[in-house]
Amino acid sequence: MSRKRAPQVDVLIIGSGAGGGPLALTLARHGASVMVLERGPRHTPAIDYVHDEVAVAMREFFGPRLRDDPHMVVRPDQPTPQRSRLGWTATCLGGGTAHMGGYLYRFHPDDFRMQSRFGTYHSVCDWPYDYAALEPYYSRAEWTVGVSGRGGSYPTEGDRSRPYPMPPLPSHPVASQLDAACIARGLHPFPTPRAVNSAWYDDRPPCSHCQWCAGYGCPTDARGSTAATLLRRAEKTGRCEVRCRAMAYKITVDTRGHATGCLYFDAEGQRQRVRASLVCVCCSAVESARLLLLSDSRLFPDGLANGNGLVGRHLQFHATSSARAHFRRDRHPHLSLDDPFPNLDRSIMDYYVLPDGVAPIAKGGLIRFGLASRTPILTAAELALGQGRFLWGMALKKQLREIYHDTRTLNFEVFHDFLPSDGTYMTLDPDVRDRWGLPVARIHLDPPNHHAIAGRYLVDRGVDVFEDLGADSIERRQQGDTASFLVHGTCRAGASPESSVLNAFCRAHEVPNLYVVDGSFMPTSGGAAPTLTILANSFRTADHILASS
Amino acid sequence: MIRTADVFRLAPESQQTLHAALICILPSDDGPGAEETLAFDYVERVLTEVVDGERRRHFLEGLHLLDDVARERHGLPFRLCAREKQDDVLTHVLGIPHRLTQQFVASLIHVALQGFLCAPRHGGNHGGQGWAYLSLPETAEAARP
Repeated sequence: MSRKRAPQVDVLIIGSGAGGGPLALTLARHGASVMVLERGPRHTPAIDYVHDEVAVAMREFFGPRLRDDPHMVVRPDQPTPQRSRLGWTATCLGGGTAHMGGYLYRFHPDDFRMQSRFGTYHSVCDWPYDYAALEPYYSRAEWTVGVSGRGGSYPTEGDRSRPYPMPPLPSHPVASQLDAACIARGLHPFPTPRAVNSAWYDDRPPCSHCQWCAGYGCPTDARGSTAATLLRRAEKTGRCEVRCRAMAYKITVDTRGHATGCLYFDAEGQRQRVRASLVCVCCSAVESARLLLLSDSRLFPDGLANGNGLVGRHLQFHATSSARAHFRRDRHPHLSLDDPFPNLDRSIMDYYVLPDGVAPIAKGGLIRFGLASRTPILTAAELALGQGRFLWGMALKKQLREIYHDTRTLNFEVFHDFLPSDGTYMTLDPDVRDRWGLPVARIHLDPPNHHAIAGRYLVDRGVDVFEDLGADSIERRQQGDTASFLVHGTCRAGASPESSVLNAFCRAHEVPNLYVVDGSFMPTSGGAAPTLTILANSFRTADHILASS
Repeated sequence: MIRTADVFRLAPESQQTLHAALICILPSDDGPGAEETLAFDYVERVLTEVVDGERRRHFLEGLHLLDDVARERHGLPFRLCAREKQDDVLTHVLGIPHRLTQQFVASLIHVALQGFLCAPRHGGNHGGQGWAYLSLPETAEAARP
């Protein structure tokens, strides 16, 4: 370990994504000395964020490398652990926000009272706070990161204290036809709120509509990653230092059981130490729980803050369901499909509550409509190998040209709850080590059947709209599958130390100066993409830390 | 496979089988295919520089299987079979009830498409011909070294 005296800061933040970013900005602005440790590199968007499918999508650009840093996954039907990227968001500055599509929805008020509203089901419970408590922070997150949208667009939206800072992004002309089809069914389509600039905002340009969005970095910073929006400003305060390629491997504690900082491997693989008065773990749910379990000590023999054995339990991903519809341009001139504009950006929240009897509990989700990406390798591979097909030769080439020349494809994805249960959790793997010699996370995956059932129903509802539009062919793709990038629940927040790891402000019950501030705190995963909720919760936690200091 | 000074190279027979397989996947009948876009160069680079030993071994075993099935069903190595017989070989391989055979065919199709449509700096999609076939606008990636 380095012989130099370890730096001492007020606040150590481990992780730089949607959890770490708001903490860094808020606390640095209010005079705290802050250090952010990020295990991945810092990218330069204009240089590193290229529109290159091979370099980005096929060479693990956003990391980590599966052979070096896997998560191991076991399922009831596959008890031999398999290497997987399940539960990894990204390993770079900004975390998953560096390559997100930026769909920044608010949760519905019902998401905060799942048990009260929908009844008992596995380990579903209510949140320790409600929508009203988080609402001001939703607004703060929307205005700080920069979200384009239109408030009050649909009747079931929660109360809103401020409008969006920017109007919705422009949409392809087909949006008006989609809107009409939805309205004819009594649905309420609204512009999908995006962390993507529709105008100059925060010294960042509007979106160039390049079609290389979700899964790719934004070279212009028109999309609001935490690196572009929060950490940049945090560093400008002069009180926030960001250290990249810093792999935290143990949170240190004193004899009183207070966190004192952490140990980490630096970019050269050397062991380093940071001392801090307050430690915030923001590594994304699987990795945050892993760090706590790695931080065992005499006082915490089962892992830090894990006296009740709940660290790693109640792991949730997100349920994902999807379909796509192909439209021949010559058969649908009124849909303006010759227009190459890539964004559709419409959502409906009308199926957030399901009809009685459809699923074990009546919790549904949100349907987001879009235009299928036309990145060539992905498009060609889905054509050739999607849905169990094997297509080659002239048949492949003919259909490939048709896709590009003669048709346009609409799609939708459904965000819905991956409900917590005893069957899905994470532990430290007893056998596999990462490149630093640390046990990797082992994910035990056995979700309840709710989201498969709900997924099938929700896909059918989205398909209804495609049929109303006159689609020439429709493919149902995922129905209640598990989304890899959205991760929650491993350090459940709650009022009782017996049944939760964190309190309502994400402070560990057992460690008074330790916070876990990412998706780990979430008792349930929500029926919408969780990123805005994680950002808002982080702002709320930051305010609490300031009030407590 | 020939190994020279820790640099993996495909054996000549495997090269020929791979070349023929890529052309079978993406023929040149109505415009550029795997041949014109130099998809082979991309795929060879992937096999020698990118994939790990186990995946490389499985892929090469798949290429050997193409030849074995071609000889068994048509009396010729894969590369010498006519197009429809090559299609028959691929179809037959897909029908073999083993997980790895389907994985191999999927990998073969996927790398062929990558070689056809990748940014040219990766060694395939020579001159952007794959993109031009789909009337995709040339992007900055075409010129990036």
